[in-house]
Amino acid sequence: MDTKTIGSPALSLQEVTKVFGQGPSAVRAVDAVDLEVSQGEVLLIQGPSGGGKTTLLTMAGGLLRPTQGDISITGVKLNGLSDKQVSHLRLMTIGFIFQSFNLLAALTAQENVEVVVRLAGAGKKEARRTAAELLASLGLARRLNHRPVNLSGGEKQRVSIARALANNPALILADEPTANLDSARGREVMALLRGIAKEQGRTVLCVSHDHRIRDIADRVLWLEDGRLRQLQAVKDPVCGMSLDESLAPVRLVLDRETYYFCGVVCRAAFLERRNAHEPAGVPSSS
Amino acid sequence: MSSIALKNLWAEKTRFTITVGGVALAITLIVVLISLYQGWSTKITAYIDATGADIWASQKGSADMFHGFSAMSSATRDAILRIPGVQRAQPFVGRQVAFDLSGKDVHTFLVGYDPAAGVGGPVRIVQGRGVTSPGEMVIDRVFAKNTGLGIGDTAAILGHPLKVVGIAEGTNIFVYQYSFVDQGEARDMLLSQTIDNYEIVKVAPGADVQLVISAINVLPGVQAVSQDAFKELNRSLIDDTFLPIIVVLAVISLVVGTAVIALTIFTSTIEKAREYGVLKAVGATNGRLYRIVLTQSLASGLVGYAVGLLLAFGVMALVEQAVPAFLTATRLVDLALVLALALGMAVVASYMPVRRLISIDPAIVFKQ
Repeated sequence: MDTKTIGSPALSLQEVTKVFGQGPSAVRAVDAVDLEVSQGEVLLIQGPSGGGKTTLLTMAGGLLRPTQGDISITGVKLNGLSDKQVSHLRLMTIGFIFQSFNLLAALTAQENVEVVVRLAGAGKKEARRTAAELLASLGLARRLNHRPVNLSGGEKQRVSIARALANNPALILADEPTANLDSARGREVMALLRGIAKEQGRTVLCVSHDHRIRDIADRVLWLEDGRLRQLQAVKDPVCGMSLDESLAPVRLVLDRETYYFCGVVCRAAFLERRNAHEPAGVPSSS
Repeated sequence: MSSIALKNLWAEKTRFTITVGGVALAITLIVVLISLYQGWSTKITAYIDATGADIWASQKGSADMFHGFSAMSSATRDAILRIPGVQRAQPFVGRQVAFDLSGKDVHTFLVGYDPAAGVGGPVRIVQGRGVTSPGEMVIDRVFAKNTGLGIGDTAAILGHPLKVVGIAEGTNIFVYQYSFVDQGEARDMLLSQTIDNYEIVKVAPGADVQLVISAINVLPGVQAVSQDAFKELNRSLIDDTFLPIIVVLAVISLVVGTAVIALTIFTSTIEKAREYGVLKAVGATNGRLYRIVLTQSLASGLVGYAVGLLLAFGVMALVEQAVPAFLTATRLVDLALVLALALGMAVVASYMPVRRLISIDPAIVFKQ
């Protein structure tokens, strides 16, 4: 399955494999993944738990070295870099957004953002100003001096986004950014990320279980058993509903052909209709 | 990074209080012990300093006033006076005596001095006057407080009734205090009519002290040392008996203080492993994270030091009120040394947390 894009990639993975453990107990968490994400693109990777999404994201962020394969961020290959160089690359090129926000509890919203700006070498005043501006642009001007404990989930995630944007990164890696938010706040956060990608030309790679956020992604890929593939759009032959091949609740294989249904009612209707015309045939369904 | 360190400390007030408390107690103990040592060391030689001597001559083999008893013929003084370069030689007559005071056994170091010569008498009279005739006594302020004796009171020492006419300072020698009487009466009391315990020698202006010492040392059964050497010999009483105990207690305090900082910062590091992982993930190097831990340790050490100093001064003031013989002297150089020890404790204590930091995998940030 082709998962490559046209244009200069902000992130490129070539034949990337990650194996945990050795011998018979070895687990191939990511298996020969090829992926290119272009500048300004919002890519959503979905898949079942344990499918390798987090491992892929961790490697894309330079936090885990692959067992095999090459990873490049904005054209810089990670393989040849030392840990310190990778740290610096992360600081200047990648912004992280986490499911559980991961804000520093003892610091205010502004200080949480400021820390990252200062790590990049900015002075205290400049860092304060940058943090305040970023937070204000995300609607948190009145929450600068609040600690995480005094912020709502949506506000925490916006602080986390501000922190991710603090050093103007080319690539934003988001791990389940909507998981701890209600649907309205989740949608709001994803719309924000899309806006950042489109208006500021940053690349957003997001892994999530949340199907509701698919419409804001430019591309949606499916990662299962360490393998990445493009999701195939299919239609329920009875009601005509649009479905993803991998996510269709009911499947039916008839005469070596697979049919996808939104539910068992449509499948029953389909079989009834078909039997009326062709009584012979042994269906298999899932 | 230092602001993260300090804010982390401040956010965990209970833990910070425990750390500071542990360090403060260790510092208090160390400061009190050092001050006590310095107090004893200084006061034990205050009397010697006050004599203004250049040389002390004693019986061979008993060079200090506490480890042995020096007794020489009074004729030795005449021999010393004949040595070129000697300006004067005053006899020191005195030893520790015990006497009964209202049914209680009391000890004092009885010193006989010649008020007219003005050498070897009380260091500083703070109340009353000096001895002018037999039957009078000047006692140390601490001795007065311990025994309840005051000006006008009479105590019988070795069968001699002595009336207190003055109270002096500077002669509280850690386990007992000096009492001063007329030298003639002291000779009677101590059966030392022809015996001097020491000769307090002053050399003439321009004379070479070492040459005079060498000349005195030629005299049979006599040994002479300079004033400074004599002070050192007397100080050895403290160094030989109490210094080892003080060192052991100070080391234990240091270890306890270090352990308190190390354990509290270590547990904090474990609890904040995820936050450190976040910092690592966003690009902070290990070096920057070490600085956070080191800053926390140093801040704990510094605040603990400050609180410990205040406590130490409070404890010393209270104890000196309750136990007058408790002598302390605090020198700036000792406080600087204790500060260095506190900072040293903090640096050593940060080792364990730093080791923990190294092992934090930044990928932890993606785990739920």
